[in-house]
Amino acid sequence: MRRACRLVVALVVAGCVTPASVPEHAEHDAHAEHDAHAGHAGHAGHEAQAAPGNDVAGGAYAYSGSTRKRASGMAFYALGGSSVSIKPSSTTFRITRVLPLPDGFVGHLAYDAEGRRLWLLSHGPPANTRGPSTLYELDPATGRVLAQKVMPFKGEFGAPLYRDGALYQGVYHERAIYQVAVADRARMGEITRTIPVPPLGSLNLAAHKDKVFRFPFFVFSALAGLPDGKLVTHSEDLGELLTLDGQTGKVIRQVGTQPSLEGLAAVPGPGGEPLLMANTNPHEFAMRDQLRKFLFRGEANAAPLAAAPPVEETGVVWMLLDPESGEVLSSIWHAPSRAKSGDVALIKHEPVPDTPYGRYELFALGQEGLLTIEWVPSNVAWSVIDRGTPPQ
Amino acid sequence: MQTRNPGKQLLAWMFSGALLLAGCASQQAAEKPAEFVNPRPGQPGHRAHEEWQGQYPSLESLRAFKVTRTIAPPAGFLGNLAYDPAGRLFLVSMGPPTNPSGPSMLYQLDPDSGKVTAQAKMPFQGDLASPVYIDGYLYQGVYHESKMYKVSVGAKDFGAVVKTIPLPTLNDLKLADESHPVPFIEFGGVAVTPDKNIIFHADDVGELITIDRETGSILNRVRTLKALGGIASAKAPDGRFLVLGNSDPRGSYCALSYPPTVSRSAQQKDISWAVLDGQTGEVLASLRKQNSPAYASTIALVRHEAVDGAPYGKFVFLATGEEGILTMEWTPAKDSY
Repeated sequence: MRRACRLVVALVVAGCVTPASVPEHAEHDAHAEHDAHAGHAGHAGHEAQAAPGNDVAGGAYAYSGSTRKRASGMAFYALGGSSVSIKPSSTTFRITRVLPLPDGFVGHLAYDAEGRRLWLLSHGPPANTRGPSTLYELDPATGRVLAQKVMPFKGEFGAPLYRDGALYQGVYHERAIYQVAVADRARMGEITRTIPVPPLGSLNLAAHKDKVFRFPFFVFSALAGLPDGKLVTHSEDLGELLTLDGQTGKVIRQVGTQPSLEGLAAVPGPGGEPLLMANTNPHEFAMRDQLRKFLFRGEANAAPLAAAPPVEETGVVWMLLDPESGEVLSSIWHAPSRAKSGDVALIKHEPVPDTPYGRYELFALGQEGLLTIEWVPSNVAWSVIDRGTPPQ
Repeated sequence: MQTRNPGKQLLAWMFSGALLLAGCASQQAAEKPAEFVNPRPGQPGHRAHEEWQGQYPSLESLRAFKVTRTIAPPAGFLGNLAYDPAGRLFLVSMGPPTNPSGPSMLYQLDPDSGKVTAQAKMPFQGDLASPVYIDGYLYQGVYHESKMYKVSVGAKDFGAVVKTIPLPTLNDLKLADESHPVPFIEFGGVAVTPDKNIIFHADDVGELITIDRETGSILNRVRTLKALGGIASAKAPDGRFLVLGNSDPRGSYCALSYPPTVSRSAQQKDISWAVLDGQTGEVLASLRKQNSPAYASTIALVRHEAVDGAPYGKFVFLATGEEGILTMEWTPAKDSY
């Protein structure tokens, strides 16, 4: 219960969750505690111990049939104006392997699932105090560095996307997506094209009239690639999924979604349709969101969040989303989390009988290094999608 | 492996920038090694920050601080001001998307009546630093572009950008093991040095940085308060270079150059004012004004007068607040830091 309260407090501070939703969520967590008391591993620290297909282990807040059902046979949650029905299902999430990263690495990853090639790209100074931005190619089986190249990037940025022999690296504060050659290792790191990212002011801001934007650029997360060549990213400023033309960078579509996505990757759905795999750290998002307002005296109504948040608030939410509607289809919450939000790359996807989406094998980053994760998403989901309801 | 922890990064921002105001230990300044103009945490000679909120007022100090006149800016104006000592007042409004009502505009106003005597559309985007006037030009910093625009305010080419000057970035400051997410130096307050170069307050690192006004190269750096909104400069009767600044101690990491769009609460009107030594960054005098009519934001010096018994003289300056453009006077008391 306390876990849920703290999470919701963080989200309320972030202006995402209405207080009215707290009791509902608290009940949600109560189910998890029930399961934990029943002898199931209920925390992310036990991720590696969970067996595939075990629907109540693996760090998930999992639900047994006896606790998840209400009289109607279905629990119902209303968070931030978005309603998500909870249906009986299996949920499995576990870390299966950890590989080391280059010493001092701070940055993101990209993966070519077909060619089985893995790249890391470190942030540039001043976000990275250890040196210049560096592109690495790693052996995905061992973590050994196969090649590396110093890159000209400055500051922080979201995770790159691998597509057709190149990495696409967005640098939000430069309003640019750089196409970086990686197919031929001899040319690795060569910037072959720069795609301009439109200014924030050119987007449809009709749904954000109450917001103040300081910069002409918008902060965007990782890039994901749709099968039709379009790019998808998440705007932290707007809490929207943005679909960009892969050639021109023009914004084709904006749709509201969970307003804190960081890692983002396109993955196949059960019928082959593209879905989005994403992760977020709600506490970090709340911090960033507060910081954005804090700089404006007129809007700084709340004190900064705690410097040392409870371990539960360092948790990460993993989500499966519909890129068309922005709706969260499945989610799982881990606290404390061995994986950090910010990176997710698909290794493989396979169907699993009696599961709605099958099993995803993913790369992510954590304090321990490069993590391989397996997740069998269920129909259980919560979201804090902002539907325009004023915070209470 | 180095851990990238955005939460810690944010905390570093918020707690180094938001909760602490830099105090100054001038004795240690002399010990700083030559290789670090302004030692950062972990470097030899680093001066630790101290909390600073300004001195609470007395009846006497309150009487020495007042608004003498108010004029109205153009309708819907959202931006900063600069003053030509010859008597011209300039306003530069924020660009979109910070200013949702239109493009950035440069206005020349009659400082007595507030009447707009000239105006020009400007290409600036987003949040802007305060402009400064030097010898017929405005120097407009756009910190998120790491650029300073030199803008003519002559009658024939009013508003023409005649030069774009590159500004140093955080990477040029040799911050050692201090991480910042973006390379640009964020600054709001800008003033003119006695030799007509430009001094600005770097919000992220709490420094007064002096640059060559034509090249942007760094001429001097001095550690000072970490939370200043607007700054203006003057010469003390004893010849000392003074910097006048304002700060919002409630958040400490104040509103930069951006006026609020909503009514301020009483708490939000609690603004500290400081006179700093422009050479050392030390606070010489201060006043915590609990019901400030001015934002902790853009200011411009109109004149500075010697006053008997007042070591820092009287500042007559312009500021902005809910009521418009304010002409203010402050005669700081001795030892009121």
